[in-house]
Amino acid sequence: MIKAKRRKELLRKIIIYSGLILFALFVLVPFAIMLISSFKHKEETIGSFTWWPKMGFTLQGYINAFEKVASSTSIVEGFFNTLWIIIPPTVLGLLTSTLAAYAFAKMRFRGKNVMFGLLIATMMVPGIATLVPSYIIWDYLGVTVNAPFVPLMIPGMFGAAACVFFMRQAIYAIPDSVIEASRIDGIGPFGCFVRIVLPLVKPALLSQGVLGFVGGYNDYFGPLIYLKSDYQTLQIAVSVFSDRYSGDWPSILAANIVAIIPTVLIYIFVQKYFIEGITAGGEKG
Amino acid sequence: MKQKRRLRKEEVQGIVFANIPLLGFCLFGLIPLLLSLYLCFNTFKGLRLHTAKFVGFENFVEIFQDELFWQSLGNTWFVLLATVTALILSIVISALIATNVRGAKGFKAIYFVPYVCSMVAITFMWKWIYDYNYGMLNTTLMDWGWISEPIDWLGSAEFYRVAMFILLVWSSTGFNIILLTAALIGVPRELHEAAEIDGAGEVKRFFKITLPLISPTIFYLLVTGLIGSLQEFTRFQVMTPDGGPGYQGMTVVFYLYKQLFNASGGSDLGVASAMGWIIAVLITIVTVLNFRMQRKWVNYD
Repeated sequence: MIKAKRRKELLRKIIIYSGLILFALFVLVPFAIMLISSFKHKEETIGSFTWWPKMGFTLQGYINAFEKVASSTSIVEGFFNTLWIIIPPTVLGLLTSTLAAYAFAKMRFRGKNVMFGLLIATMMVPGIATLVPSYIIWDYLGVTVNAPFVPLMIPGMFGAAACVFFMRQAIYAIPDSVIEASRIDGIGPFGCFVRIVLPLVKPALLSQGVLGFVGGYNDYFGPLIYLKSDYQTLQIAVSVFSDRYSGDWPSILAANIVAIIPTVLIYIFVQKYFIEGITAGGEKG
Repeated sequence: MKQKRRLRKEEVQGIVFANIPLLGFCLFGLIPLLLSLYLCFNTFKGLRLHTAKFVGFENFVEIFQDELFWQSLGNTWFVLLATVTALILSIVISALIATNVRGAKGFKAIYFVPYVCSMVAITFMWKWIYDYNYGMLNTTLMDWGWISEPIDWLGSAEFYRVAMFILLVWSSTGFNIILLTAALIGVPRELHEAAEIDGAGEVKRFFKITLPLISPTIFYLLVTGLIGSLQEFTRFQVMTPDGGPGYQGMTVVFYLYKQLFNASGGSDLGVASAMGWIIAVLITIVTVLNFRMQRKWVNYD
């Protein structure tokens, strides 16, 4: 009897773990193929696929990936363009969202509920409806020709409803007495925001910041629409490079690996904030 | 008096602070939206707004008569199928993780990796696996003797959807699993223990207790997945920039993008604006239906 039970328990464990391990392999094997192939000689990828390179490893793919190609953005330039385009809106947008969240959570003013309702309602408007008219407006203003990165930067600086929602939850957790104590010291609402609130919601800021950064870094649609070939973000640069090196798989895969390394590193080091930002966003739904 | 003035100043500050995001929406959301409402009833070539001419509902008629539009809208079904498959797979995997396995953190960390990687990189990775001549998939299947001729995964009408289906499922599970495992932690152990004493088996308990309790999360993922399916673009555009065999890889947003991209080539942006509205209305319908149906079959206790 006990033996049968133990055997059943063992069988259960085997099923559970083999399911999890098989799925982990399904997720990881493509990455392994990509990584190994990126170190192969080009000649070896023309011919039957082999798991292990018979001709040995080479860095040629990576050397090509970092090479500057005339009239298009290199991977390195693309990387710095991406940082320049996404860091200002990520940081500023986070601050304006948090400022709004602070006002909604801790300040007193008339019409608060109506304003918050309106803000949340904006989340219902699908961005796709504004794509074409936005492009026409930016083009009319001459921006698409003279400063095509502007449409990718400015709107985000005003903050986003979802971020306000998230930060408001975090600011609610600060006791009113802490806020009031600072007010007795004669600090104004903005001073209180900078000196008291911001330091206290650092973890929430980090999770929203990380999510925003990774989202912006990986964005493909926006830059594809607005930016020109001589000034591109990393994602487009990689895509253009891959088309140009069509057939040279080690170089293509090397360039794409270089492109995913920064976000994977961020994920490894601040995994906690990443997951928190995502689960908090999902639970409110 | 002084106190009162201070309060008044604070009220103004509060209103200003609270409304910066709303101001952003008005400038970059509402204004384009209103312009779009005007544009979708006009015809004009390229970006030459001054040539705009009122045509009533003609743009919409044109779109509804456009076979390629219907086909790209129809392709959403197959993206949605992949989304639902990924969701079911995620529920199974999350349920396995929730059985107190060792290394749960490690498994979750692995499953989440595709989510942080750029869609561009992921798509090129799979493009290499699917490569007709030298890809891992064809080579392996031929080595095993399952096929005698290589399969044209990305170029043939029969296999393109299979290839994209695998890619879509592969890259969509991580996000689901993170949310589902978080929801599963919230399922009280006592309920399970009580049901176990009553003699309910593990599988039965999963369907009768766990599933209803995590139904809000499942529903949320289903709705965001449906909205995401309607906006699918990057994976298809990168994999087959020409739209795939027989336009099987043409999504609505991809089609809209092509029109906008052709603006200098003289495509009618009035039609494109109308198309943007159609997609937006579809998404809004899904969102509203979500709120309606949520009350019916989601369990909030």
